[in-house]
Amino acid sequence: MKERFLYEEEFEKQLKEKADQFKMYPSDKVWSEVNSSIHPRSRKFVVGMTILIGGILVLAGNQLISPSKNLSNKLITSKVNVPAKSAATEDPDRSAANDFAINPSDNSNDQHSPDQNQNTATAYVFHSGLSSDRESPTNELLETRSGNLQSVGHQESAIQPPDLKVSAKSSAAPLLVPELNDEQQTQSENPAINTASSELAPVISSSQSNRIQNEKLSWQLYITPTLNTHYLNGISYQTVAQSIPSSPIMVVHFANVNGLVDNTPMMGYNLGGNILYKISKNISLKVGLEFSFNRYNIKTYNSNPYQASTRLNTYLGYFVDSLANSNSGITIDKNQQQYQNRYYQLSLPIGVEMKVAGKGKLQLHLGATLQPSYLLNTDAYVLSDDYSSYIKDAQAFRRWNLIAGTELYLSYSIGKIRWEIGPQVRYQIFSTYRNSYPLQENMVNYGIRFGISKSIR
Amino acid sequence: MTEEAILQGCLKNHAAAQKELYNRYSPKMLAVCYRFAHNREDAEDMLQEGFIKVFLQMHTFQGKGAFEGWIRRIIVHTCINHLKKNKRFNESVDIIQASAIQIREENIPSIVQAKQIVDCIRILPVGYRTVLNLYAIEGYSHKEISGMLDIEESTSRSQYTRARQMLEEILIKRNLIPVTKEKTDRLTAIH
Repeated sequence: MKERFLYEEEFEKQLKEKADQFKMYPSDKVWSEVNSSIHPRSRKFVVGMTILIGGILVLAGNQLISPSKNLSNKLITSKVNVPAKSAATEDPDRSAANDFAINPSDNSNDQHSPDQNQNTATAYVFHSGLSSDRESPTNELLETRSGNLQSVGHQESAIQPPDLKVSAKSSAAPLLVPELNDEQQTQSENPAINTASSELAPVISSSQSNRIQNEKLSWQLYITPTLNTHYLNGISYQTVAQSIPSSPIMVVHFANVNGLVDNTPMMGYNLGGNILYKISKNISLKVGLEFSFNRYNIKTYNSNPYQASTRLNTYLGYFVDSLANSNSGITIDKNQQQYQNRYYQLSLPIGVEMKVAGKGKLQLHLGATLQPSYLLNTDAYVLSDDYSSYIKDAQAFRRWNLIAGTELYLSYSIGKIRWEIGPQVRYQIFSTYRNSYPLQENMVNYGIRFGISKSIR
Repeated sequence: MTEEAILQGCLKNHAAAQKELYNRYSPKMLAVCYRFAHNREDAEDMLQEGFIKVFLQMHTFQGKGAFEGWIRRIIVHTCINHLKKNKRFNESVDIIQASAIQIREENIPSIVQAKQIVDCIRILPVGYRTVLNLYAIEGYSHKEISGMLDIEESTSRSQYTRARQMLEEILIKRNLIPVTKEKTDRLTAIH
């Protein structure tokens, strides 16, 4: 640019001056694009949260919409002296069910050996397939095969535990584990079934223990209409006075800031899902994802823009040299205006739930969570530090926060679903605003939680 | 927030400092982009690309010279790259050798608004406009311009001469600068 030192022409100078005076204001889109490019983590966070909440919803939907698939997770079939092909001919549904069977069998020759088939009771465990309406065919099949089972009973000495095999290539009748337990009376009347049951016992007990293990996990979905209140804290006069005695006081507000503003609570809601893991008979740990929408009304008056002024004054002779704002000269519109502050948050509830009372269908639960939360929007109004006006300042907001939540709810079990209802309180531990902002706002939500939960099997 | 605090905040990747920096300089920088760009949309694209570079290359700022100047250089280079990428510049660069047209210095009245001047500059063909922007407003030498635009230094000079002449005529047509007798005679001779 050395050449430019010779550049002193008047026209260029004036052109540059004029051009430099020109300013344009970019649209909001530009900053949001720039911001998302230099902070890809926030994008990853949104994607991660979407996947997490999507996963919970899919899991819940799967359990709600097609419970039959889950009920059939632990199907047991018994096959005694029934060749695979003939069984498949008898009931095509069963052969279809075989497609989903697990095949840990280590010797396929067993199935094709007539001698061994005659002397071996083979148990088959299915992990898919049949709805509860297959109970009857199962029972029928057991009864019709009683002769065979009896013959097996006569040859008990020939049946050794290793012969109880788990096979995929089975077409034998399915038997639901829960029904086995529920229908013990029926079985006791039928010695053949009892015999079969005793042979199947190791498999059944293994299946039951799996089920119990699985029942430690459950999911929970809920929605909570809430009443959103908030508490404001301003600069404490006492704090200022104590920290700098005998010195000029910068800001003095003697009244509680909550009394100076006119904010009314409004309805919002929380929507979420949890996965619960039972660590003991009555206590479960839970983790999930929650979306919350909070809002409150602001009543205020429009006024013309003004330059705030400050002056030294005395207050009742106690404090000399304090500063106070002067609002003289402001014209205020007499018509009251109403604005709404809305907050959208995503949070990750992590907590404990305890069964307080009840053993059967009706139970009382108490839960508590800590929720790291992320504020999705920063376009709410902020009260100015002199409590005189509202402004929009995205920089004033704290994105990450921590919420403490507690709930007490009654649950009632209908079928496989447990319905829940009860009060819930959420308190935002840190201020909505950053520490650098002199005001503090803590949101508190009171709500009635409606939820459902179900064991994952 | 002071400029030093903004710089330190940006180096630590603090979103608040980055937003402050953007708020402070984006209006000026968008005006720079707008002078180079075909339309406002293009200008915003250039600005976006430029500010991403600014934030990503913040650590390379040595503190020598004004921070605004450093940002401005990045933005200008982004604009040039954008024009090259879209082939808008190459298509309209005329290879015209410097002519011996003598242009007397004109004074731009102070009453003329900045926007009027910028609008006049934007009427120029993109090749002229780019050279004029770089030389007269951004302060680059013809040698530097030739390197930036991949053209001969003499081409840059001729482009600038033609650009300035054309701008002068536009300003006269729009009554933004007074018409002198010498100028009237010359314009009459041309037309």
